[in-house]
Amino acid sequence: MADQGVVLIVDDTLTNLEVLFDSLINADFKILVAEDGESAIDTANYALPDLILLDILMPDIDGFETFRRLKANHATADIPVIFMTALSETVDKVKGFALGAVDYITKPFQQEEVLARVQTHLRLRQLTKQLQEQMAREQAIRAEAEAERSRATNILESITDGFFALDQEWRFTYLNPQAEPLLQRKREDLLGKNIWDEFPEAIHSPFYQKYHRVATQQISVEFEEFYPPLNVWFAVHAYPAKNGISVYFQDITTRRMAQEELQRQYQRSQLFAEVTLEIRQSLNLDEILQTAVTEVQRILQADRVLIYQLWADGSGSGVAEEVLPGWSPVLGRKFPEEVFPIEYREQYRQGRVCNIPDVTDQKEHVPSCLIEFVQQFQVKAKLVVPILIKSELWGLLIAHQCGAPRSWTSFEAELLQQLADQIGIAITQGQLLDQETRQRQELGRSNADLQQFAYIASHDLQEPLRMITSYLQLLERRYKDRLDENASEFIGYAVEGAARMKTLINDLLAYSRVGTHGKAFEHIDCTASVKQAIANLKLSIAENQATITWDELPEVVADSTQLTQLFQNLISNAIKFRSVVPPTIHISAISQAENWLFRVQDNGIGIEAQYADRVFVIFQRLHNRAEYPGTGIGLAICKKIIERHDGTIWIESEPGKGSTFCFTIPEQA
Amino acid sequence: MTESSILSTECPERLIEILLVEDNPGDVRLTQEVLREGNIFNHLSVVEDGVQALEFLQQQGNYSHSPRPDLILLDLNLPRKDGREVLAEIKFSTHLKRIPVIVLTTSQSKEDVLRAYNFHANCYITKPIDLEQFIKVVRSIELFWLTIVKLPAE
Repeated sequence: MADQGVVLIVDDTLTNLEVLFDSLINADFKILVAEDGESAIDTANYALPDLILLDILMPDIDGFETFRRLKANHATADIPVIFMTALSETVDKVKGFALGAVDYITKPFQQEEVLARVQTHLRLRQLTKQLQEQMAREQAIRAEAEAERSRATNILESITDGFFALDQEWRFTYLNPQAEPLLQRKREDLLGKNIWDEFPEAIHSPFYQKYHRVATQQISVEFEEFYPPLNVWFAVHAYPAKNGISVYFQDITTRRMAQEELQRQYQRSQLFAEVTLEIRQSLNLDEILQTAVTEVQRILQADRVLIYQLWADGSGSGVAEEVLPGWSPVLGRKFPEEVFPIEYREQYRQGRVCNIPDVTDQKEHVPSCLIEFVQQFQVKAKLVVPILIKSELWGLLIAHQCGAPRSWTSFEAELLQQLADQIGIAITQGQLLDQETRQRQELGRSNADLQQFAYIASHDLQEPLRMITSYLQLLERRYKDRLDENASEFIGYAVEGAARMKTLINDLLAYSRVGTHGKAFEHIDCTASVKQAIANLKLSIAENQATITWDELPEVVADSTQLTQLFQNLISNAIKFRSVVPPTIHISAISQAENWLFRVQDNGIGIEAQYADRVFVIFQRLHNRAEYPGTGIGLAICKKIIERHDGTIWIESEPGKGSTFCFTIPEQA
Repeated sequence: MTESSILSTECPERLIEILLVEDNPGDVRLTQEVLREGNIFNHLSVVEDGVQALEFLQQQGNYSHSPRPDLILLDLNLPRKDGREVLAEIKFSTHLKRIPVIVLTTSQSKEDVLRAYNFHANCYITKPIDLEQFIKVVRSIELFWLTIVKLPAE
């Protein structure tokens, strides 16, 4: 494929640049990049790209200011600019359009969307260029003709413009040779004849008024006008003459048509941008589809616009429809597989556009099953484009003309396809939102389950334990004299087991509450948290003659209670697994890759690397209970706290050389 | 003053009537045993759910001859009618609201504690797991509510 055009991407975020670069380079665009407004202006001025993708939020000079400077520079003023903005910033979009941006795209970027928009605007740009060139050519030709006219005496015979002269009675007194093909009449047939007799349709047209003005007011006039009987656009210069008027004229039909087509395309592109904004402003699927059909109907002035969703079994139904009064609605009707058989679906999946100006035309090969459908809903002409989601056929966007056959222009087909692409993107976004909502609800449910569990643990599980303990103790109390030593020992073990069970339940409860009973995050001074943790551990620190030191610690955004609990668990863990020498514990923090990296280093017994992950697993113990009491909950709670703060925790250790617990907390929550 | 001297001076002439609302037979028995070991001359009535508790208090149905309790020991999690509702109905009844209600439950949840006091529970006690502790709790109830506290006559 040849080069599609040169696109300048302006964005200060490297990842955005990369995403855009990748998606456009694959489609054969030449890409230039700039990371700020100043260099964007320089690059644009030097390279004159066909299109600029411009980020709004940038340091120094922002997108709007960059845009203003580009527009102020004659060289870059005509380059179309597409703004890039976050999905939610409607104000920016509106401001962008108001300044004269041709379009916007939203972040995060959808590859297909970026491509579709860039292609549309490059195509428009190309058409504009062609038109400008054509106009320049015409002007050159005319200038040449003017020059010649002044040189030659028999100029009227040789000029490329048509020329005729009329006397005061509106009779042709002279026509040059070029007038013949332009008026589609012979000179000899017209000479001496009254113009209004020969061209009666002109009487009720501007030609009549303008020529009369020239004659009565003795002024020259210049105008462009369409003359329907000849189906020609004329550019006319009429001058007063001694005995009547002189008229120079030329056929400008081609230019006018191109200009009008461009105007139409421009209007439709504006409409397209508006519709896209409408469609994409909603994330509610039904709303998106209804807006889409309403807007498409408005733009195409079709009698019926339908979004038809295809189901997995090949059948389908209309899911949104806009139909003019007088034509039957299709909405809600379910259609069997035969309406769109598999081979048709496959063609649509590959991007087929079905353009049928007249369904009764035998050449169109409308399948017999469809003819019935077509008759039932009075369809005379139809235009069908696929709605694809991730390269799969989701459904069809269908325009029907019911009153009469209709030739759909390629532009209309293209516009419909672009809108179908937008609908596809909007549906994907809607589906993403649905999915997210569902996940949130599930999370809510599972949180509720956890709360329920916590209540059960705090109440229902305690009850049987209390029965076991109390009755064993009552047994011991009442029958002490009648029990031997063995029986007392057995009762002792049973009571101890129940007590441990109670501790386990309480630990489990504490663990589950990290997720469900957390407080809101706030700015916390870590030094204060460490001091609080040390105060809570005062007894144990004194008993073990432990020394705790710390460097300057940062402020973080965290749950203050949990942060204190974290330091407390880590310090108490370091004291518990001390070696023979008194424990020394040092706490430090450094900034690393947008995170604070904390290190809690001790001189304890350390552990072997193979157990490094197991220490964070709930109720995992690496030592026997007599030597190191506890359930093995402390580090599991640390891990859960850190995970709630979007960080990670790990241990670096060697037996005999102490351990270092490392954890990260994001610098910006 | 020792415990016995309080008892000797303040010991009421009639039997102290206690209503225990508790669905767990193990707990019922334990409470009976511990009260029996104590020094207070009391009569313990037991109902197993909230509906029975209110019938007992309003002397309805099978409980038409039930005594009016001087003290109610109320568990929260009960079949049929929950202890929280029973507490609310007692405290909103002009006839019953003066009877002290001691919420005696295994629940440690903050919500339960707060709710009980909002409904004017006279105190909230979490049942200890250990028997010695439980005995202490029952003795404390006896000492405080049945000897130190001056209860309303009716």
